[in-house]
Amino acid sequence: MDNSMKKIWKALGSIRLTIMLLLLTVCDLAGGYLSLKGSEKIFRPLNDLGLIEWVNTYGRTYPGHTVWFFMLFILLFLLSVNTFVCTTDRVFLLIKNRKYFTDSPRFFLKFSAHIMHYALILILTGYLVSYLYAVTCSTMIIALKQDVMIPGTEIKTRLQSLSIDYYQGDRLNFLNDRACKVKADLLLTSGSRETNKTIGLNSPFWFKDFSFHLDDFAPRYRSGMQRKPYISLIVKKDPGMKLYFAGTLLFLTGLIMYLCQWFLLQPKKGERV
Amino acid sequence: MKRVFCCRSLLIICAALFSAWFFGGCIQSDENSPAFVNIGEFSIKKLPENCSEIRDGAGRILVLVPRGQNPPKGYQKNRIIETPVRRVVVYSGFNVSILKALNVLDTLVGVTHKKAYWTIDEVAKGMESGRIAYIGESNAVDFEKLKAIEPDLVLTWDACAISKINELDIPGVITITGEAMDLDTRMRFAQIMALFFNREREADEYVAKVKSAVKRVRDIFSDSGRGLRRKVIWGDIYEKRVLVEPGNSWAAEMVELAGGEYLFNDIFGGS
Repeated sequence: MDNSMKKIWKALGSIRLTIMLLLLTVCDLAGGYLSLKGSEKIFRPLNDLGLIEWVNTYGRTYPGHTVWFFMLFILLFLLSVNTFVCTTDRVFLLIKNRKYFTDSPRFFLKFSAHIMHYALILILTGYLVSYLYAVTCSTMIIALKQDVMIPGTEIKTRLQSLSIDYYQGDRLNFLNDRACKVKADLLLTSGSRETNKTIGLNSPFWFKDFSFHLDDFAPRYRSGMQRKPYISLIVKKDPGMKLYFAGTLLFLTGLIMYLCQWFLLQPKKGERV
Repeated sequence: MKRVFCCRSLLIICAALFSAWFFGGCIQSDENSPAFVNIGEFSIKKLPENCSEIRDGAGRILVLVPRGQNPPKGYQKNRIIETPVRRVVVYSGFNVSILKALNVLDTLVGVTHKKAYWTIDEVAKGMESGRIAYIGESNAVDFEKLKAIEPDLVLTWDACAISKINELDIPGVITITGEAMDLDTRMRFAQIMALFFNREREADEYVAKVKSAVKRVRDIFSDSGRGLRRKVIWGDIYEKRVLVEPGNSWAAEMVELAGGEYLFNDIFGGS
């Protein structure tokens, strides 16, 4: 690296830059919190439109409400670069000083914090990939005993049965007769392959690279206006999901290593590390 | 020296970010021919060759294509609406009254209320002459009858009906939203409906008329001052349950505009 590159590298990895970026992120998020109040509708389509399409439509139409979000992107990008440079510096330094460590577990566990930092970058990258490249089919409404094709695929979905549990109790009277648990049995057909799956609130499932999530259902009340039973699904093909699961796993590994370092390798009284 | 460098960097980053914020806030879209219009949870996006993409109340994407023109690729058949729509089936009375405002009641071929329900003369007469069919109540629609009248489009509030309507290869649009419509969305909903019938000018006139009526109500109340405020709730009474409009709904806004006190103003949610 020549001198100017070294300077840039050093500036990008500086802890002062980290503090500045974190402070600005806090300010930006505070502004975002105020701006978001009452304008949640603008951000909801981000879930199924994808980032580029959303920027070209809602993002550009309401710049006053969305500019904090763009700034957050810039800040998170700078924070990721800063974290990468700073962590890489530390990792190289650690490798260079390997000879000062008396045993390998102690040396190995010293990487725990750095692994967590790399994991954070991986998680952020996963989210970015998700917002850029995920294919989402939102509001797939399926009535009981009906078949619906998932657009752009050969997957046919049939709602076999829908069971809804309604709240009954004295403690929360106002929730009486309101749906509290839902379970839908689906039959998925792709070519000659048939699979039965069950979906519920917070219980999605995978089928052929697609994740299926329950978005809505009816009837939500046992009494009141009678609705015919149906479910609404969100079907998603998200290449970023693997990245942020991998990042979470890596973060967990780093955290366990850090705990090991903390509990097992505490220096005894009077011992030098 | 380092502290000076640090402060300067901080100032530069702050200045850059806040200028972006400031200039971002100043950007205005072209009001005369916007490529994208958002009305509550609905939206309209202009596509090449006079096509438009609309997002309905449930967030489903449909494409509007001028009659006789090839539709853009990538849309399912039941998501393509040929415009102007010539035959429409409508579930909600409010949507029928919008058709009247747009002067396109002659396109109405099916409803989900019996003749006795209607106070719009054209609809009652249309049902009498057989031009407008009753296809059953909204919770018991006769889909064979619906298919027989061959509509170009079905406007429904019932999400459950959509999968059956789509199975018949008829495009369906969901006209209610998850979150209650506010007054602005309720008024401008006519501009969404107008796209199906190429009646954008009529819709703009209608919205201007309603806006001026709302302003008149506001002015009357502001002139009379804030005296005694009547307490109001707005909802539907069912057996063992009363469903009310939340504080973010157009109904609550209208009550407040007319000098009332809407009792569920603190509740946010759907209609």
